[in-house]
Amino acid sequence: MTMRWSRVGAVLAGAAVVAAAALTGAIPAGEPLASAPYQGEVTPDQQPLACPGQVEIPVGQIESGDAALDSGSDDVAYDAEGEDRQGAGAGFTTGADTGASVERVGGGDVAGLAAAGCTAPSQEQWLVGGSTALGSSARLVLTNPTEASTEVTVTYYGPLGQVDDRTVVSVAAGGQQDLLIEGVAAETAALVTRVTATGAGVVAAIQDSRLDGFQPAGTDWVVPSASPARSLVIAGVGSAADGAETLLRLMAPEGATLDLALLTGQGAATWGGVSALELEPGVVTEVVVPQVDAGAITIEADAPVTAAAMVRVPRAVIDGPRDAQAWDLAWSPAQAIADGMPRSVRVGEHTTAVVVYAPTVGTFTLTDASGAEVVSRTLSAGTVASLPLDVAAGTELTGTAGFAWELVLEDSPGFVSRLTPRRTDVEPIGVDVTRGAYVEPS
Amino acid sequence: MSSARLLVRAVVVSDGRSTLLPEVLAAVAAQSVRPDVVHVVTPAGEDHGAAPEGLEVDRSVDLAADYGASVDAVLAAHPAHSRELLWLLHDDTAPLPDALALLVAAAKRRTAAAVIAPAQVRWDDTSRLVGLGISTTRVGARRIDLVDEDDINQGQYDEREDVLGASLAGALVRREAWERLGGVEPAYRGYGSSLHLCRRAWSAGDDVVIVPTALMRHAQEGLDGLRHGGRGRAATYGLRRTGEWLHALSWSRLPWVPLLLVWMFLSALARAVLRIAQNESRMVGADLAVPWRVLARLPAVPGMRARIRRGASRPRSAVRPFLVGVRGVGTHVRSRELRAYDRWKAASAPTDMVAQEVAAAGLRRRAALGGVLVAAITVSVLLHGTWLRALIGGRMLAGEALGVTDVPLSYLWERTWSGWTVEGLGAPATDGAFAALMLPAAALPGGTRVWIGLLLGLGVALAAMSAWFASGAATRSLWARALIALAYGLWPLHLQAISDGRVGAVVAHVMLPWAALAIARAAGWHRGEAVGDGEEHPPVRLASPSAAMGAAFSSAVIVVAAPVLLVPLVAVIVVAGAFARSARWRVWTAAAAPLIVSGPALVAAWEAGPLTSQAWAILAREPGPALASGVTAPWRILLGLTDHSRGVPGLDLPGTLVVGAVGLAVVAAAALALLSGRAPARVAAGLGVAAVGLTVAVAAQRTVVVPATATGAEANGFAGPGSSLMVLGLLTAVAAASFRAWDAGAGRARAGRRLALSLGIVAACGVIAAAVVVEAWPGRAERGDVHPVDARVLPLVATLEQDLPTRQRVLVVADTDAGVRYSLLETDGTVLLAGRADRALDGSLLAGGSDPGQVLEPLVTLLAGSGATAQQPLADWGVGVVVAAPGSTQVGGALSQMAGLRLIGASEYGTSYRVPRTAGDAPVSRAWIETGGTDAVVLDADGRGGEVVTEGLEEGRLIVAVPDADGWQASADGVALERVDDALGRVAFAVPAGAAHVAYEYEDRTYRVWWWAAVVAVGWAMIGMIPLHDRRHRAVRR
Repeated sequence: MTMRWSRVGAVLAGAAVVAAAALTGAIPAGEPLASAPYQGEVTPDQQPLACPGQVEIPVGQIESGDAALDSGSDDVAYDAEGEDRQGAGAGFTTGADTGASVERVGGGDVAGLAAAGCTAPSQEQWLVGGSTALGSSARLVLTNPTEASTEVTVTYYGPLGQVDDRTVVSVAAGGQQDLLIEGVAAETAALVTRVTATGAGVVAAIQDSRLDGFQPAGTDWVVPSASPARSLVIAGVGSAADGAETLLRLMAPEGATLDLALLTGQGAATWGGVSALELEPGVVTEVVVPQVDAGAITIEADAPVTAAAMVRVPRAVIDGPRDAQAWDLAWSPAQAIADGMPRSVRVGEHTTAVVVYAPTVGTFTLTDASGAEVVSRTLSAGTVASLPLDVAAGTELTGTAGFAWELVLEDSPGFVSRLTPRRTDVEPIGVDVTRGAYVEPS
Repeated sequence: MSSARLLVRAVVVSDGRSTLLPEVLAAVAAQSVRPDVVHVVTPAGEDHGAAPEGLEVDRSVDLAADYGASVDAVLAAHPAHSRELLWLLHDDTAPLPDALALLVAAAKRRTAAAVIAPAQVRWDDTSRLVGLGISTTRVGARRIDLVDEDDINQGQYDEREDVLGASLAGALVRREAWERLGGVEPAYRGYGSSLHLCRRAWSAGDDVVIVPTALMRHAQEGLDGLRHGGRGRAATYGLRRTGEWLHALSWSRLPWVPLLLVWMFLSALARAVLRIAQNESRMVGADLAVPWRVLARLPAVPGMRARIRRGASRPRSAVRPFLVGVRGVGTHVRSRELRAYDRWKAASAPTDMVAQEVAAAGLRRRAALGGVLVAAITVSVLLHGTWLRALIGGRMLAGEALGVTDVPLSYLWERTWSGWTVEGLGAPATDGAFAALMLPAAALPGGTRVWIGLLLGLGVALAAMSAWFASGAATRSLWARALIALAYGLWPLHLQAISDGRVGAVVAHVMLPWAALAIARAAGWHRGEAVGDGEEHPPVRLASPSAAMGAAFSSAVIVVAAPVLLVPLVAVIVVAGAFARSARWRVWTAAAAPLIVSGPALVAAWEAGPLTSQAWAILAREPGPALASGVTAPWRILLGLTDHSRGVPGLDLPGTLVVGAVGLAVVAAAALALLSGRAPARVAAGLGVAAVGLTVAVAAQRTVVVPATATGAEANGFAGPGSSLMVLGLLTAVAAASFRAWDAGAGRARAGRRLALSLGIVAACGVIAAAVVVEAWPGRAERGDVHPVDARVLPLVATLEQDLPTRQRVLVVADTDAGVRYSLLETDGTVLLAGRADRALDGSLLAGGSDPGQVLEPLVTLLAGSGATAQQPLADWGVGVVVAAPGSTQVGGALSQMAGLRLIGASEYGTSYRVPRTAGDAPVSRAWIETGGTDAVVLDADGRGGEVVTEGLEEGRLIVAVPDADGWQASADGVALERVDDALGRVAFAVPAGAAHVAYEYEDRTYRVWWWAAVVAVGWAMIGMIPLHDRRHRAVRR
């Protein structure tokens, strides 16, 4: 090759490089790489339900000689419902679809009604409720109704976000463990607790007991709320009692902006300042709810949130200091009714009414185990009805799917509690199965 | 001594193929003592002119065309004289005038001599010796010439008299002895018959005498193959070797004959290998044919031995002093080598001035090499020092794409030998070259853990060193070579490949410069040392056949490591060959090895439709570690960038600029090289290669090379190998243009140029240093996920089960945010270095065989959800141990709830559960026989087969827990078993009742053929690249 031809060749080759850089971009790329994991679904074995048992007095049994000043009380009525009950620690398990415990303590520090629906063990649950502020005690009760021990990790969230300390506790098969949250997350006025468990899971409940000085300020069981979701409903909000107060507690693990609405028998009630409410991630927020006799709160968020509402009912103190007031409280967990599944509940003593929220127009019916209609009412969309209920304790009631409802328990003098229905079908668990290299024991 | 007159009967035999006959006759006529009778035997119809003046010639015609037969025919027609001497002349032997006089004088002096031979000299130069007596070794299978060919005759051999043998061409033979011995042995067909006759003469009590002063010109036309179509001396090599072995067989003691026959084959094999190393490929066949030729002549041997025995009157030991011992053979070979070396040295010795310059340049070059070596290793330590420290500490490198690097040799061997991959549940593969590529690393002490670790940890230094040596072919500028070496070593996509653990891309990057160097040397394009004023030393650089084989080998390694480079490499070799003039065939042969090792893929691509995207996807496949990567614009690949360049924390510069600095410098230098107009042909070649490389890189990145399957995530091609080819081309252009750039021009222009070059070099040094600092910047995010881990991955109880003959699989499960992640393991950790089964774009296997689909995922779901028992399906697929990874409490808890699993241990390596069979006590295994009884009969298995010896077997089914594929076959007591359908898609055979020995195996014949073809091709290239045969050192016996 002569020098001249070589030069031409070099220039052409240089041009080829430039052309390659300019033109090869037009080569079509294959489909975008997306390796979707295998989406498996498994229906777990039906596990027994568990209820936490009786409430405990945070300060223990203190006898002063004057019954009015004792922390405990002789006037205790404990009513456990559900078939095939077996003891599990201080609580019990039941092989039935539903179960409940209702305890009435007539006096002392934990005076009031404390009701808890039995729940199935779960690997992850959110308990919205309880307080460890001065005078308050939050006792987490973990019951393991399964046949294998489980390791439970408890994470706490407060008004300042997630609490640094966590609790890891192992619960033996058929056993129960309780721990006082104030020992881990003290001075946390608004508490949200996340309980994760290995294996088939664990049943968790918090006993929320409060004192106002020497006066009881209410006791109730906090049962798991719906897992964080974008759309939630809390039924059974409010009380007809004079001076009742309602607080809504919210928490979004990843932060969220949400809209709240309070529904009553007449439709939406006025509630200022709750549109486009912003939640910081992990920060527990409390919102005062306008006083209504019977209502429901709907939560629509752009990111998953979990919530519960607490109603406090005051009562005069007999033989107490002047103007002294005692309270009882009741927690209503949020429900995710968008699944369109029916829910059931075991009726406990002191049940007086059922509060129903209808997102759409329809007829709400409660039937007992035999299928007999107990209550039926047609509701218009976006309204709440409080329907008086008079059925024997121990009856299993199933409501129409698509409605949010809750049993109201009341007793004199101003004792309140709530029983929340649960889904009785076994939910299939979605499992994303991915394949990967295993190169080290991480 | 008798004074009676001797009769000399000269016999000149011609086969009519030589043109020298008139000259021969003239020489006979010019003898000071003429022979008494001259016979000329020619084939019918041939006339080679009249006899010279005054020479009476008896012409006869012979049809036998055999020398011995022609002589015998003449003798038969003429009765013997009592003291008759035969003067045996060929048509290419011309005696010098006093030759016959000297021979006859010797014959009179040595009355016992049967053969009196002259010294043979070259036809065209009588001062050069051709032959002066022959001997042989004690075995007899190697002819030893007693004089070096072309040795100058200075009378140094004049004392020589008695020799074992001598060439009969031009020799005097007593007719009485000739007839007594029966003339020449026809079985030799002309090659080796002289020695045989002489040795028989000694054996029969006669002498053989050489007369060094009697000279005979010998054109050696027969030896040089001029009578066989002019193919040179090599044409008669096979005949000569055959003659030598025939000699050995007829003269050795009888018990040794069988041994000699075996040795003959071994010797032929060894010589064939040597021929490959000498790149005398045509001689390979000649050497391999020798034993068969000998076997064809074997029927003649008993007769020869009988004649020798009958005629013997002297003991065997009489000739022993003439035979050459082992040491003598060594001396003979060594002197041949030294002679060739001396001849080369004499021909190519530089002048003293040049020698001094070359020596000084060598000193500078070695110093620069040392500097670059230190710099390159320092950079490697700066970038990957933690890896190297971990390797010394007994840890290994691992990563998502890399897998574990502690791979047993047996695993890689089973993979490449059988063609069955164990990825997932197992699959047939079309080729196992990648595993074979990893074999040397596994075979060396330390295994793949150390050597793959070092390949990655020292990847920068290795690439820099290859670039240093390769750049020497294009430039002698040490600054240019050093900068090119470091730029190539620090090429950003090479660093990316190292960090991702893409072993194939790293190997390709390291090997590409060697391939380029080999191609350049194979074509004779490499530069010599710059000496004097624009000269090079050596002035003419010859093409090297060994380098062509080196190109074949390195190309084969490259296409195994990065198959996407097959097409561009073959294209480069083809184009280079077209410009390589006389070396073109040598260069083109370099493409054979890469093509053969890629054979199965080429066939698959052809069957997919040669110009489809499917074919391209097969050609661009990545058999080793692969990983999905972002598709980028071509200009980013030109700069060696990935889709995202991480900047440096605290340095306010865009990441593209920070990481792309090396790429920018290389592209700028290549542009300057083009603009300079220097070495335009080489610059054109370099830039052409760069354009091809860039195109390949872009196209590869936009191709799905690992399709999504039931067993793994998909990946697109990596731009690295293409970009390595590209940067190689760019740097070739830079190197070529830099040759003698310092000395170019004159006066002011040269001073200016030198200033510019100095500034450029300093700037390039700055870019290199900055690149190192950026890459080693503390706190900067790692490029990839390769990191050191402990060499142990699984709990001991799990690995023990993998190694037992039951070959249980281990299923490892670990929690993820949304579910569970699993790995099915046959070894201690996921092995991705053995190469995966090749698949079409739709995920189907190219080697055939069924894909069982998503078998494991539903099982793993069951495990994660603590639902129904997964025990039976796990056992059905030979999964004997389930391990919950450490820290995976969710799935661990679920496993502990499963009634079918038995906890066998918990440790820091995870919690292990044994999977028992649901029925019977037999352990879970890879293969078993299901019968009517409760207990399965378990086979002892390895990765590709297994067997069991049992008794009292009922009729049943042999089940191998792998997906169905054609290559599986089984036998019971030697009888092939019939395949039966299996509901789960496994391999199943019907086993008859009473079978005692049941065995199964995977065997893919197509795979086996390609496997051996690749072994032969690569082996040939490896032996051939040993630089034995170099033109400067040609001591090759032909």
